[in-house]
Amino acid sequence: MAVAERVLGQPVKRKEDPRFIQGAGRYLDDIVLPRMLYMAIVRSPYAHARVKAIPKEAALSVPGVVAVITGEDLEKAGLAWMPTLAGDKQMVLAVGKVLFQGQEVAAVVAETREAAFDGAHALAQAVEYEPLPVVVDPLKALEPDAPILREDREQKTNHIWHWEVGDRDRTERAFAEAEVVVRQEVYYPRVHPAPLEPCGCIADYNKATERLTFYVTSQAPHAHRTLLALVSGLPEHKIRVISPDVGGGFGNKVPVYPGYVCAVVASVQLGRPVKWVETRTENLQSTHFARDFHMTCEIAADRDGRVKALRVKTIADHGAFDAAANPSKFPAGLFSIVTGSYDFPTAFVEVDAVYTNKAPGGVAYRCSFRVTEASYLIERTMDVLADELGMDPVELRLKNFIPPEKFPYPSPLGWTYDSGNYAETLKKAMDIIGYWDLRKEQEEKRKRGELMGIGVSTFTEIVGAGPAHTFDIAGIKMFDSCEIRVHPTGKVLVRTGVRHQGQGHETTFAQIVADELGIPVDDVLVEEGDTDTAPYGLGTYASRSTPTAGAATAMAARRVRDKARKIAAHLLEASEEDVVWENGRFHVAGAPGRSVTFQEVAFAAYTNPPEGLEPGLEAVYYYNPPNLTFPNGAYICVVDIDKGTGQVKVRRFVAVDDCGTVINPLVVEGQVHGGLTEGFGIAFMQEIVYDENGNNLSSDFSTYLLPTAMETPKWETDRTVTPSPHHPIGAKGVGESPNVGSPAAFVNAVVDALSHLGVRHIDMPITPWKIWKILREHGIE
Amino acid sequence: MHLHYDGELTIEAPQEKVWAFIQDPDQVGHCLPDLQELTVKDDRHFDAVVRIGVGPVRGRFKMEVELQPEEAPRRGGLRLRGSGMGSGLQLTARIELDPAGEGATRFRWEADADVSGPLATVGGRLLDNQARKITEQLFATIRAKLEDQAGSAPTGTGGAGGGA
Repeated sequence: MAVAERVLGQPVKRKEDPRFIQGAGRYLDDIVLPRMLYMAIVRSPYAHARVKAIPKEAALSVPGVVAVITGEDLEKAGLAWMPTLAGDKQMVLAVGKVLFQGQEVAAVVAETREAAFDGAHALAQAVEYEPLPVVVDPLKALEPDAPILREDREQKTNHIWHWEVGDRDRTERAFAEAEVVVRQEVYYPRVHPAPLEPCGCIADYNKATERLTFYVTSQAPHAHRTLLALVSGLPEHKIRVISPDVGGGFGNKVPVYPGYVCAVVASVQLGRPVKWVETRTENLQSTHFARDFHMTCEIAADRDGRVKALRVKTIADHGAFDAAANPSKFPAGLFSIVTGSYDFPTAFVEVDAVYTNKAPGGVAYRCSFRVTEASYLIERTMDVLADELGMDPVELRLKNFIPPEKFPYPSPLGWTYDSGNYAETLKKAMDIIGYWDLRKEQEEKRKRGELMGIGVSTFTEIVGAGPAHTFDIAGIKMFDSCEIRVHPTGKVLVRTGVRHQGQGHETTFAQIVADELGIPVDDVLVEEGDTDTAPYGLGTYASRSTPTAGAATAMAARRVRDKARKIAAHLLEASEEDVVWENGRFHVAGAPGRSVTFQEVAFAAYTNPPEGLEPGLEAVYYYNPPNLTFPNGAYICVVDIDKGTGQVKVRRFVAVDDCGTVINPLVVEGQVHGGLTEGFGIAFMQEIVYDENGNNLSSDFSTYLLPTAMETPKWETDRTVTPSPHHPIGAKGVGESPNVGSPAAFVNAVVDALSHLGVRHIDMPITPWKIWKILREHGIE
Repeated sequence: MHLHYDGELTIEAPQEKVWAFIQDPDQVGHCLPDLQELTVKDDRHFDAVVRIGVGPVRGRFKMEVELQPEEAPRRGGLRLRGSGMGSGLQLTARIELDPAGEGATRFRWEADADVSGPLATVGGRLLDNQARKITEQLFATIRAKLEDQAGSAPTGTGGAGGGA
């Protein structure tokens, strides 16, 4: 009998793609229910203003409008404010004043989408405001004479919290004794996940059954169900959350937005389904942004390049409400991964969060809770140190990498890195791109006055939140789950507590189950997103699906196999201990000819179960990860700069990722391509810009640019494999690595191209205009 | 979005006449380009509705204006609050008049405006030029009317520039 080829690690084509490619996906806005109403939201044009009057009749007089909801109405129901994931509270609809442009002021419900928008437009003209002084700069927000934005809080200050980690005294001493100290201020601009499908929901409250069915673009349907129950007071067993196909999330679809609460209130009051889908501008103006970290990084080192200490101070601009989606114990997320891939003896990190008149948020845009800011900062500052020391950036890195023998590695900021071989990964990337030849080429080009740069980023991520003793979201521990049902004919239904938005779970999780049970991938159906059917879990973000739900899937499959072994023993008339699982079959030890397939066992589970054993074949597993996982990679970017226009051309980009065991190389490559493209957009094209009055000047795709096929460079990808020692199949997660690791590679390459002019740092986005100005300042025409 | 404009013009009319004109809500109100409605509330206040178009953002714009004479016939100010098209505008202006030779007046002015909403976010890149154009039209009309009156020529139509 031929040895069955393992399906784990095979480039299986994505099972979900045919429906997406053929336009047969079923997204939120594809759902149309009988008697459904539509809702539109009136938003504030002002970034800071008192709301003097909301004359509802302006909307109610528009034909088709059936109801208008204001903050005053919600206040009566105790719903004017809702809790945020960061322990702050956020206005659902404006009460008394507005704190950012685009803030929700009223909801208009109508018979048609057009009537809802017409009603909202008419009401928007009629709302009266008294403008107040606007604070957009977080540093100015901390000045003593700054206007207090959050009058609802007891603390009369715009300072939200201070967080610090590490050994302050030891770090100060190391700096005092250091031979070399570099210091760099780095701003990671406010960017936006900007999923192509904006956020939306349908609230369908059935007055007869008292059940709420809530369709929503959600990365975390179970968490949303619990939060909805807690906020609305509806009993949780009478809420069913369905997250249909999701057109991209990237962190944007983790929070609960005011529109969701308004739609639920409207449906409960009117007894009809209410749909709300935001526009692109609403998505960019009001849903959660990412980053906006003003960081100062210092590294102490020996003159030979050995790093001694790291010190980081950060001002975090949270906007009007602290709505960052972070685990409770980590107000600055996992920013303390900032020591990166390097063996720092000591480190100290401080973060201060500030309110401003900007949209609330601080979501992890394709990032495990502020890991992106941390990786960018350390990778950027290592290059500044290399420049100070006159060392090549790769030599500085190779000198300071955590060596393979030090794993599991306790970091000075409290993490235990699981595994990695950073030097091997970097050397692989250098070989592929021909690093030393490029350096020679650069030297020759410099002599000719041409601008060419090589940028390196050797990042380490921290993903897969997380162990229950440390990680929770709003009190709920960050485990995840899988339920497997084996049907009598051996076909399998798998449901998990996460919810993919393009990550390919329908394929990769099917591969895990197929591998564990020795069945074809096509015999496994993976279903996610319906809280009535899926086991409880915390959702898909922070590269946690494979580390948590993927692990639960492997463990649930093993539970199924354990029971299957008992049935196999019964069928083979052998004792359970003598039954061996090999090559996808059960056989009697020493007698491979006496075997049964998994399908035969499945059929017996329903038709011929052994005496004393429960019939049926299914299992549930709730997986509490013992540690996080630490994917890493080495990215090298080559750029050429046009002196006349300031245009940066990315000539080559090599990404070598180590995400542990690879379930499906095709899916990994797809994830890496997508993340690199987003990282490219962040590095060169994107920023949410506010003017001095708090107008969001980046509120559509003509002002907030997404890279298209026209701009996107060619990506070259490869891998090294250092399995995670604590994950059931050794996988680490990869979805976010390219977004986390690539911005530093791009920026390092551009700075490297200009380093001979004395340029040490350029903040993103690196636009042609910025480069053009720098070149002119240095007399280059 | 913060906008700042200033300018200077010479009007062939005596300073007292210019002062009287610009402190009269009815007279100065009718000089607003694309005026649709004017309601004079008292000798210092008037409300006006104008049509505005800045790129894709078009519609009616309501304005409440307060004239603030400081030192007749030399110095004064103006406060304007406007709203419409989901946007808001706060404007303060200062003016100064001096004699400029026989029967003529030098008119110096500066204005600061803060704009919020789609006028700034969608119309932002077009707003500066458009606002400058409207301001120039306003002063051109004031001057034309004053000089018409001074020359006792037939009164012009005033409203310069058609639908923006």
